[in-house]
Amino acid sequence: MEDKKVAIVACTGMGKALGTVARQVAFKVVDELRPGKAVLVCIPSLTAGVGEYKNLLQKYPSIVLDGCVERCATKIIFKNKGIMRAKVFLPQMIAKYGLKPSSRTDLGEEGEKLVTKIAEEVAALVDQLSR
Amino acid sequence: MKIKRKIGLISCSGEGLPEGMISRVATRRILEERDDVVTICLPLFLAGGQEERDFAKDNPCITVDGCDKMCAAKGVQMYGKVHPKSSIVISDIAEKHKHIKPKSKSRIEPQDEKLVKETMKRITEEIDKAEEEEE
Amino acid sequence: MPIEKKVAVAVCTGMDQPLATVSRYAGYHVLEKLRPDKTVLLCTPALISGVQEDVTFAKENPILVIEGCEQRCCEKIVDEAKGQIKAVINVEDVLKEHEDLQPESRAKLGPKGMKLAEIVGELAAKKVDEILAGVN
Repeated sequence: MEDKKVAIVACTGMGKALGTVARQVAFKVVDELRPGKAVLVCIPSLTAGVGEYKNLLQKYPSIVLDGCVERCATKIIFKNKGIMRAKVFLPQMIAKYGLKPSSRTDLGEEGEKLVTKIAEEVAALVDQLSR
Repeated sequence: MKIKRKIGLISCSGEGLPEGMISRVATRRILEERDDVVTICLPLFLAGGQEERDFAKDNPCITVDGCDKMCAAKGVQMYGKVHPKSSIVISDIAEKHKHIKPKSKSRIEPQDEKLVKETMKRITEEIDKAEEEEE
Repeated sequence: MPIEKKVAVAVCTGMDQPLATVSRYAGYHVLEKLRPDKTVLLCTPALISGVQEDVTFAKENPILVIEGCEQRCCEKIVDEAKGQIKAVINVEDVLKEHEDLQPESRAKLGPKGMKLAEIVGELAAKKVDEILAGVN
């Protein structure tokens, strides 16, 4: 049976609240919404050559979650020869859903709802890409 | 003697947004200033242009996209299995430097020149980085 | 008059394990609450992706690394960027001395995990003071 998984590459930056949102979205998709279908790529481990992340990135299509205009997750995918098949640019999601995270340490009620909304979108993308 | 590879610039060709125009103009101006870069025609690349694809596979390339859809960056990966050295998104530059959003899709207005120059600066930085890695 | 140095705090930001999340919140604790005037954040993904500000920062400021596990990814990344690492705190080592403070999960630390993060943050604050005493 063909192994059709999708890699989730989240920016996880610490400078802004959306880095924390990206991180929580990735956890929600991989741990709750699509366990077994979505796999997490740990950016520091990938960069440090720890674990099998480089292989995952080159084997499975990726969904990128970027928290700001620096687009670190996108750059990192390119650097590691991954294939970006879909992306979610989190600053646009605030406007789309009208929900804003409170702070980078405590997302607050709106931030948690934003995580859920984005995670549902990403889960749908996982379904499309793993067909 | 090591032959220095040229850097390929792949600009988006989007007509839907003014940023597509900025992308093409900035890329064209860089091409006219430097002889260490070439341009790759994105539509030809996507349509299967073998020379474009071969060049992009064998040489470092930088994609320049007008907007977040990132058609150039995604397209070259999906259809040519090419991994760009870096990718530039003009709407990100505009936001980061608080430039006025360009309005015209068919010409560069005087107030758009700042964004064109900022984009050219970014492209130049990425070219220089790519060349440093080549050495 | 010489500009007073600050300590750049680089945090693991890994996503594999709960202790990586502990390191994240420990970083915030020292940056925002304990030593806000004496520290700045060195964002690890930005450093990896080559954001110029972070790259320059890493070269010009003494760095404290907060690691999530024995893989030491953050140290490797900062080393690669030629940053000057002055001290490292490993959350795994701190957990060994506070075994009752196991975090609940990587997504949600829970009260014990947050307490562990605070303890790591306090250790980090002391390290910041030591580093600055040696630098300024």
